[in-house]
Amino acid sequence: MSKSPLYNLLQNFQDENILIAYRGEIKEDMLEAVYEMMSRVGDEKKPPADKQKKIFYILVEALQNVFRHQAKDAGVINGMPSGFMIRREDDNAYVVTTGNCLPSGAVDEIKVRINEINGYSAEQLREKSRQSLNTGRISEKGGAGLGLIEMARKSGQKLKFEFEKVDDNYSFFILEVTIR
Amino acid sequence: MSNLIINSSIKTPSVSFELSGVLEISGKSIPENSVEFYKPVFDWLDVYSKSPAPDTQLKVSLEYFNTSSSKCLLDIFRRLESINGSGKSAVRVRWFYESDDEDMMEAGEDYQALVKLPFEISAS
Repeated sequence: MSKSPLYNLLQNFQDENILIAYRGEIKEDMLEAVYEMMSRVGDEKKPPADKQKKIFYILVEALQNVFRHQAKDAGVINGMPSGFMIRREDDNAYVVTTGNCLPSGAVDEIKVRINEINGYSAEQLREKSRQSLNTGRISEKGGAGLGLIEMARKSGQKLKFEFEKVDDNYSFFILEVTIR
Repeated sequence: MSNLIINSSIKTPSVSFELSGVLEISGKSIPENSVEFYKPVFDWLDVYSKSPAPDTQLKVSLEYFNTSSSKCLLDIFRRLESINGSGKSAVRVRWFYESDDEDMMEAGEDYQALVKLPFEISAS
């Protein structure tokens, strides 16, 4: 084990097949830099062309969700900022993971929603997505309430999630979307 | 009222809405708050609807769009439905997707199912 934290981190990236990782509050103007970064992933690690668009689309949706919902309280931001990661898993799969703090009161609702979405077949997902599109409205934050369902639909895989308690008021929400 | 021309940016599509009834949206649409971006488009359509051209054709060819934009696109289609329904203009939509992009083809089919307008889906 090297003395250099950077070396160890980079070694970890190598071992875990991490393509990109970021730690910090997701800001509006930052999303453009992320889009740029995505296009610069080295050729040897780059996902195949047909997957790139899907991965990018899912990353955009996931990050925009974080941007809308991440807790802004300074204590939380400093203690446990948002983050995201893209890694390769076996030969075919790419995993997009985002994390952000949110009020603990929101946890149950999210669990219910994701479990509901995970229970749908591909046809049901499509139908639900159309229904939500048709009847939904855009929130003040710009969200259409469709992000989770579209991520499930486009990835064709179940959404994975975890919650870690941060303190009495906040939990850290981890969302993992796998693209095969 | 003049034509509405908006140049594309890294996150927003190019928009070209002409008084002649030739309307086009193309590129990428991933703004965080799409309502801000699309508001001028809605406003233009509201004015256009008062005296539209006899034929109105909207061509949509997007590489991808986020869910926030998907709602705004539907709102655009709804306004076009009203214009068509008023009898003042014959409106149709042409949706283009890149030939290997199944997701965009499916998105076109979703809109086709929800929107009461002649709606053509083609690979480009």
